[in-house]
Amino acid sequence: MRLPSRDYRLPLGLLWPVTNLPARTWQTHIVKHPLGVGALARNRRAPWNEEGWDRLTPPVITEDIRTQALASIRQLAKGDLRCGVPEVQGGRGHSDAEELACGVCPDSIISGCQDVLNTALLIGPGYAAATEALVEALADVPGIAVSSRRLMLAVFGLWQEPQTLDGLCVMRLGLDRKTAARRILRISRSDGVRAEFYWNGGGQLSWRTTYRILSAAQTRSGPFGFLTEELPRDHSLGPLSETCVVPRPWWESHGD
Amino acid sequence: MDTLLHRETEAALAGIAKSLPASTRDSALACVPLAKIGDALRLGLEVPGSVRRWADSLTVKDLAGIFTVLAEAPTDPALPDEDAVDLDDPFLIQSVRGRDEVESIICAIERVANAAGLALHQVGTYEKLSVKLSLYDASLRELLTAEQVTVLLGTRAQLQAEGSWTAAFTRQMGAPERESREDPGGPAFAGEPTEPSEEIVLKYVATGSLAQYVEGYAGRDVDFAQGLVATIDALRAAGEQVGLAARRWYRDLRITAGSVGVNTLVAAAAIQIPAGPRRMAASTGGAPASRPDNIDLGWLYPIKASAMIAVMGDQLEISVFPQEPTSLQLLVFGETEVRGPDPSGRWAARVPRTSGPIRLRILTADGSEFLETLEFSPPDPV
Repeated sequence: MRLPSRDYRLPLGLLWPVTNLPARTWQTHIVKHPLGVGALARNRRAPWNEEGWDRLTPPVITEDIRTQALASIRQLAKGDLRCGVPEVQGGRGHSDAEELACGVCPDSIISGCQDVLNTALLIGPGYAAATEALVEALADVPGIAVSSRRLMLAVFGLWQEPQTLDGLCVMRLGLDRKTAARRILRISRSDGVRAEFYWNGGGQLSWRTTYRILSAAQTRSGPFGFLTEELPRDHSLGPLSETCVVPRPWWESHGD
Repeated sequence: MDTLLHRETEAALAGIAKSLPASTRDSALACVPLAKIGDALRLGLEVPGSVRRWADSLTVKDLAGIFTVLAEAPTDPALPDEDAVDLDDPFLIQSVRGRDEVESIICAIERVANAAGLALHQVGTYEKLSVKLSLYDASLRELLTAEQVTVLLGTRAQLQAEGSWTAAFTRQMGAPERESREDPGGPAFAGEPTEPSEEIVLKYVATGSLAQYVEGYAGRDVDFAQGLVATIDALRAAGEQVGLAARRWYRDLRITAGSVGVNTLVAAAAIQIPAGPRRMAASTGGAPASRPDNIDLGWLYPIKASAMIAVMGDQLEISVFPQEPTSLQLLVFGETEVRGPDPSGRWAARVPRTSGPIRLRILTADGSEFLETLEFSPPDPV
């Protein structure tokens, strides 16, 4: 899978280049997020669509398409080889959300799964488009770098006009929580969609994940906290550790 | 102190100040400035005068509307199952930080209510929210240790002062305690929890046995929790034995609506222990009050001991019964401090009976602590 479909240049000298993602990596993310296996693995009683990929415009997936997808993946079974994700097979809560069986999926199954999710039902391309849209909002427009204090001043000054945050994307820099060692970049959109990237040497970005926290967009006050949420600080970045990037047109309309 | 959180909070308040005067009284939107006001109060920061005046202009009806919005807000993302806890889980992080943000809103509203001469519980819909938060907190305590909550809160950990809602995690069931399956609190959930049977519930209410299981399940299932409340109410009304664990759980559910103070959600009031004339009269036929009336407190989770209080006229004597005779280090009951068993091997302490609160503290050799405040009241109403 090629992600992104073209190179993106972002403020602060960052580049997200076209990359061929390993099939197992990509399928893992589609199965975990749009197909909802991650939600089911976290909580046995959660709905599959807790992340709300069926409630985006346009939707990345629908209930019907998901049903078709699961049936098609189950039909890929040949002899002893079959999809090893229990939730795809109809079970619930048996996967480790951090290590889905997609990572060790047999070649014939993963290949068929790609055909189902990426070619036939177009779930993969929809998920990729949602990810690219976040970056596009700050790359092509382009984005403008401001301090987190100026962003807070601007965003919270708009508390009576929450519609001004609709569609707003905010990029922040910091460290990943798991190791507190790897530098990451995160773009959050007001509807709860969030993409994260590793920030490698030379300003090159590599995609880490895309997920959606639907609850962040379900109340009118939700986006204020979601968009401004910080990452663990990378003090070695100096002032950059307190820097955010927002779309320039938005800033020109609503910034200080 | 000057941290990023301090600087960003000040900037957010400056933005809010710039936006005033307010042209909306929308309850959902009012949560935005109130959350930042609460953050500032918890950080000890100055709230700009114009923002303070805006908050003070909120009527009781406005405040009630805000509590309703918070009480009815969606609770997803759902908390993870016990075997799926991951400190890098963005959904869990969102959930825990959202809970803490509500704490800030309550803090800000409490200041407004107090300035108007009101306590939180006098703001109509507060109780509904406090019950929801109590159940959520109980679920979270089943999943996380205090240290894990700190990690999940990120910079918001700086807001946690003594008495904060997260303080309960240090004395509640954390991961290390959950590993101890012989704990008087009983086992935590293993896999898909099943609803405690009626027999287990009655035993829990009377003696506190299997507290971790019953309270943990109640934290996950609102219907069960409401049933447990009804059971405790019914047993109290019938004058049946209700142990300290159940009274404590009950108190922690209700305390949020019944107390006044800065940290209302966690500054727990004394547990009311019924003792006195009715039972004394019933058992003695009005005989002199020298004959003791025993009150079984049941298990004192999380320590491995149970206790009994004898009411002897104007004296109260507590006896503590550890599972391991050598496991206790300290017993403090009111002003009386005991550092060892009496010659008969009994851990006991006696205090004059008062109408005020009496502190009970028990320390064990392994560092576990039971800390509670008791208040001896007339018997539960029949």
